[in-house]
Amino acid sequence: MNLLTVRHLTTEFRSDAQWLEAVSDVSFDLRRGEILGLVGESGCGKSTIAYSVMRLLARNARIRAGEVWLEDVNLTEADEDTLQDLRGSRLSMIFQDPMTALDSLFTVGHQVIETLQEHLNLNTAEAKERALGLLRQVGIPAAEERLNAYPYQFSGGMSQRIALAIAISCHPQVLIADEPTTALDVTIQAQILHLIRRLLVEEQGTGVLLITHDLGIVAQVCDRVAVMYAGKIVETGDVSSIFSNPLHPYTKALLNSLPSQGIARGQLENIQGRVPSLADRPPGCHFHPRCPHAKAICRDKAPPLQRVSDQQEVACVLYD
Amino acid sequence: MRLLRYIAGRLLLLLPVLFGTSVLIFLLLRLIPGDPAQVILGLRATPERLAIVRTELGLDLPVHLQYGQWLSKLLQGDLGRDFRSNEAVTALLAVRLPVTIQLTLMSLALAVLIAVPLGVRAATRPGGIADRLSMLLGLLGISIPDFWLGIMLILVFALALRMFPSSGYVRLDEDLLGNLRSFFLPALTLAVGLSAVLVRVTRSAVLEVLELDFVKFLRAKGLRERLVIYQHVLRNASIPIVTVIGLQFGYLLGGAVIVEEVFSLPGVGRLIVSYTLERNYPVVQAGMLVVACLFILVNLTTDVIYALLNPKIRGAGS
Amino acid sequence: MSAAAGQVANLAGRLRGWYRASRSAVVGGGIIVVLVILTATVSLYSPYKPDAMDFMAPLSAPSGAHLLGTDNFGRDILTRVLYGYQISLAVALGSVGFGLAVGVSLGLLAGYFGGAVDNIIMRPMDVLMAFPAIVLVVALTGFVGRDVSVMILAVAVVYVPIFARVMRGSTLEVVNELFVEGARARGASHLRLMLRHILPNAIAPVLIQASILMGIAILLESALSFIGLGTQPPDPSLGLMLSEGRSFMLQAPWMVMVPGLAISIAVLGFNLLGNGLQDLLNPASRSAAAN
Repeated sequence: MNLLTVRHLTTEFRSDAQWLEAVSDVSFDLRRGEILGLVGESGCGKSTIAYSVMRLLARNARIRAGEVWLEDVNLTEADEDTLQDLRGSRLSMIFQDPMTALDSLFTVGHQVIETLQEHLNLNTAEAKERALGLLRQVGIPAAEERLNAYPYQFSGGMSQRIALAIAISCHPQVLIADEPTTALDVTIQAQILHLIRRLLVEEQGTGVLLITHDLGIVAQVCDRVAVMYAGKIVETGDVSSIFSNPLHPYTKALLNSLPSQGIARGQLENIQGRVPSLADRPPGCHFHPRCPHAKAICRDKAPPLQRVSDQQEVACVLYD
Repeated sequence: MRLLRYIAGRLLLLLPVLFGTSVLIFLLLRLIPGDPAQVILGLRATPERLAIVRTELGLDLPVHLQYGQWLSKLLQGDLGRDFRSNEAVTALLAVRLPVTIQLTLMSLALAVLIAVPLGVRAATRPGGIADRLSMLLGLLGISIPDFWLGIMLILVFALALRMFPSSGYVRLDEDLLGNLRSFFLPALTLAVGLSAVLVRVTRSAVLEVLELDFVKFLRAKGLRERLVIYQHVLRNASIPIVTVIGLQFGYLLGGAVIVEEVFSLPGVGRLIVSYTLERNYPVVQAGMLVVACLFILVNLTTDVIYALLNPKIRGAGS
Repeated sequence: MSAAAGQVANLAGRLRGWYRASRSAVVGGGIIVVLVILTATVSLYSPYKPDAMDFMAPLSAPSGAHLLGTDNFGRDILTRVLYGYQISLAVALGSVGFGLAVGVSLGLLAGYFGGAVDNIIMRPMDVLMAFPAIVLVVALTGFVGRDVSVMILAVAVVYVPIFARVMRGSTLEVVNELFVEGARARGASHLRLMLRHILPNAIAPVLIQASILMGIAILLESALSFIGLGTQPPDPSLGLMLSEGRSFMLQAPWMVMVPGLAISIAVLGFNLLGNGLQDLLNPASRSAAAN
């Protein structure tokens, strides 16, 4: 059962007079009760996918083609009222930097309660009760007092717990987590990821789209993974299959650089070159200038994702 | 508690400014040529009479002693007496001050009502009608002289359409509606200039806040756009807006001088102008001091509002 | 001939370039240039003298003979407006020039030396800024005298703290830059550091402010004259004309409309120029505004 179905999604940004594709013809599914990792270097378009699904793209960006379905709702066609209803209730999102995600001028209690009251028909007392429960669920100590505290009084990890409490407050079917732990230190990282797994995936069957540049996180919590390079998914499949048997040269390169976690800096240790910017993505397979196995055909032809086994799809001429 | 300490700190900082202000006003009027005794007695006064009057006014003392006298009286609430009518200046101000305060507060309210919604709309719909309108207001509002705008408003709304009185003033406690009507055109005149500045600040402050991450999160949690903008974004943008209102209050007080003249409103501004023309030192001194104090008071209020808006200074919660 | 044509084309091209870079700077600058030329040469082309009365034609509406009508003494309003601009511009130039000279020096010193120097210079500036401009100017002109030079000085007194504050701020921004440190390491004197290295790099915001304050000076001059504390009759000042026109505004509305418009246009010119300079010197603010 697919909760989220993305088909041929193409999203572009305006730069001066021209439109540049940030996401090109991306398709994937998110199923009930699974965590799908979307992994790639910064600038590969993974956050743009998140904002396209949420329909919260910046003013200078637009979805040019493709469809996104949340079960039976076509999000790409939905009007703003429908979207506003869905966001925060059936479709939620948390962000990279928890310290800036909350409005610093309102108490965290207010920010949880306003979400509840927006989507559920609750009076203030009921909403407050629910908010208290949510804060306890995500592991905020002394939750009752903390409802009246302001965001600046919370650490990064605690803020992300609050954001998570807000995101899950209306039992979403889909949670998009955009680098939810990048700004946190490693022990807190594990706690937050564990919380997502336990509270959402296991207890409620939520589907989670986890965006990260960190393959370590993917190995830790994801069921499936899609590897992105320069706006496209180059390989997707079960986490175990991909980690044991990576097919695409880019995936291999990523896995080879895993222990050093060097890819956040946009540099892979064992492949030369850098991620091309939006304006000068090469023709054909975008990876060919850096690919150790590149052939002449890679310059002209961008191979589509092709199924190579039950668990794995890859977009590379090596596997035609 | 933290708020009180903050306000106390601000007040302490204001003391030297207040002191400097009083010195400046005093010196300004003493260093400037002209002999008040001569003004009182006229040109044909005998030297003996002049000397007597100077002694009466304390003008024969050295300047620092004169200042000391003035200041000690000032601290006792005695602002001196009108040279001509011998009326107490405090009594004069008691009548005039409410007019100026009502005028400035009404124009402040009008300016906020015009500029804030327009600026917000301009920021949320870039390139739209509100955006263009706000640019136009921002430019014309600071280019058109307020006294001319006042005259034009009189010409159209008072003389041609007869919707409002062209001049004069109805006291608040006599006739509320009449009072509001008599203040509407002058307040609007003053408000246009302020709203020009305010609309620009609102627009850019809102644009800046809209870029912040928490707005993305508010939208991602499905909060109604109206709440996102008018509750969260506007409140975050209000710190620069309030700051500018405070700074621009001096503009309102200055504008009041002119607008009171145009609409024949008996306020402090008009008092300063007419008594300057007849060199009535005690009245002008007091008037300027009051204006400066009002300005300083508004800046203090601004700081307090600023603190109230910011939970870190307010120190609420645990 | 062709060289001249080439020069014209060259100039036109350059203007187009500027126009693209900042429309408002070119429009504002254009308004000011035209006003200055018209005003400076008015005695050469105007058939009327500013104070020549014509008792046969008082309060006449705009016509071929009097393009913008006449006042209650039959004086030609257009001519008086153009002469009135001479006073406005004199006050604007004088007060901004004076304010710049003093304010920039003080701000530079305060920002460069900091500490006690900063306090000694800036605290009195705070006091001066505690007064609304018009109140200060009214008091100064009211007691000292009603004369162009007094108006210039009075407005300059208001401007000095403003320029000083802006200059101090931008000095603080560059004073620790590498090129200043480098010059200091090479043994440049304080004076040389301030004048050769800091001043040119810190003056831009001051110039933007100067353009806007030119406009405000015009407003202040006309306001003063309007309330009777500035230019005295029969000299033609825009504010004074406006005040005289009030008594006749129903019979001869042009008597109040024309001088008011004239003031607005001049002030608009300086404001547009100031905005344009801001865009040109600080492109970030423009792109933020454009998006």
